[in-house]
Amino acid sequence: MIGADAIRGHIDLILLAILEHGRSYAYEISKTLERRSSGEYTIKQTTLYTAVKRLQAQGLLDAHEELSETGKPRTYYALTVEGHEQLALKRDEWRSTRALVDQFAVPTGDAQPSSAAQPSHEQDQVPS
Amino acid sequence: MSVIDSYLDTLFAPYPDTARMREARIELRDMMEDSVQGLMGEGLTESQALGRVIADFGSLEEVAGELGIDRELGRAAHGAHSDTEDRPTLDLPRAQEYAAAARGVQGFSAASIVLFVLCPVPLMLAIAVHGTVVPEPAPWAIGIGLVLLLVVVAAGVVLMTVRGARLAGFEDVTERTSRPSPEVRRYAADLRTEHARTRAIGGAVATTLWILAAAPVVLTAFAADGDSSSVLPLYGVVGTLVMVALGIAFMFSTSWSSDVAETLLATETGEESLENSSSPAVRAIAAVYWPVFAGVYLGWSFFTGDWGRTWIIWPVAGVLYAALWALNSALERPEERRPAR
Repeated sequence: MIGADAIRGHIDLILLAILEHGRSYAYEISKTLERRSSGEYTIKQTTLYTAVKRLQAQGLLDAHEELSETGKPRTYYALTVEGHEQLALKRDEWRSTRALVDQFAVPTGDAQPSSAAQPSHEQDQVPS
Repeated sequence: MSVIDSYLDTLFAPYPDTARMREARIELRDMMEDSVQGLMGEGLTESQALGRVIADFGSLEEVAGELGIDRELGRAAHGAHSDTEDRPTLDLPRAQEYAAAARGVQGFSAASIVLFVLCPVPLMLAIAVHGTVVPEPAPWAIGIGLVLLLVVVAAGVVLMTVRGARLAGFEDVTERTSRPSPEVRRYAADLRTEHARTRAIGGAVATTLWILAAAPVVLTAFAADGDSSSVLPLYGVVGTLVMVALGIAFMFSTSWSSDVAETLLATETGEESLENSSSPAVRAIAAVYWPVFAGVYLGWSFFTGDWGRTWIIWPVAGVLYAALWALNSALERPEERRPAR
């Protein structure tokens, strides 16, 4: 299980990436996270809420309310144009960061990024 | 009210009721309900789904920090003081340690104040047992009574000192120099809620006793029927003091949780008490108030021998005490009610 502290600095990138291909709502986002991390990481609701509020405040996310199938209000989040731009920037930043950390953390000879360590945005399939 | 509502009520209780906090509560509630529905759709029972959603809720402190409500919290707790950011944080283990210590010494403060109130009782009983106050009380009765009075006062002082020593390590909490963390605020709110019923009963019993406390003095004075040699009013005064003391014992033994909560939240004490007044003058007067009146009563009675009339001093003392209470409130209010910016 991956600790919340290890992920904390990367939540924004993860959320932006999950929303890259379409809008989603809190429960679905947390399910996607859990599934794509193979159960290794479960996001706390307050962490998710705080992150979407932060991204919204930065103009990277749009939020709008609709009713769910059960008739309860549900907020959908979608990337804005700035959100897409920011995602691209954060991806580049992450690649450089990972390459740098790997220089130190991974024993010589293993420093090539493995497929498991690749950011998974290439396989993004966000349920709608 | 649903499980989610009561869960959120408890979590939000320590936070100020601001528009932003209300909005966060509504949005978090919707998210939780949606998650419960989603999990039930996956085949979980309602209680399993609720358990899962609550377990995965996280910490409200995180939300408060992001929304800038931490700063509002600080202002709410300390009025308009601007130094809140510099104060050290009071964390939960420390708060629980203090609560345990405060609970342990609660009996000491109750007992010492009860002893101060009851200190003239041995003297009055000694005189009353002798049977007459005319022409004057027996010297042996006064002698024994005064010695016992001093012994009882000394015992009260010893208890106060022991209490002070036991709480000596908690200046950071009692002097309110540290800022309570949100967990501490929640803990304090829970503590207060948990014991609210006991405290209400204790307060009601104490108030009833205090209202009825005038009865023994008044009744025995009427029973003495103007006979200045009668010792009946002495028994009446003893009865009154015992009732006042019982009321204090009830009040103190049931209000510890509230006192601890108020101290932890670094606010003025909810249970207003003259002994805890922020004004040193009021504290000094309150400490010696009842012993001084007991002394005046006894002195006047011995001097005039008019025991059938001197009891009047007790209702007067009661009214003046109420006036002192009002004065104390007037002195403290402007500070407390300074609006938060």
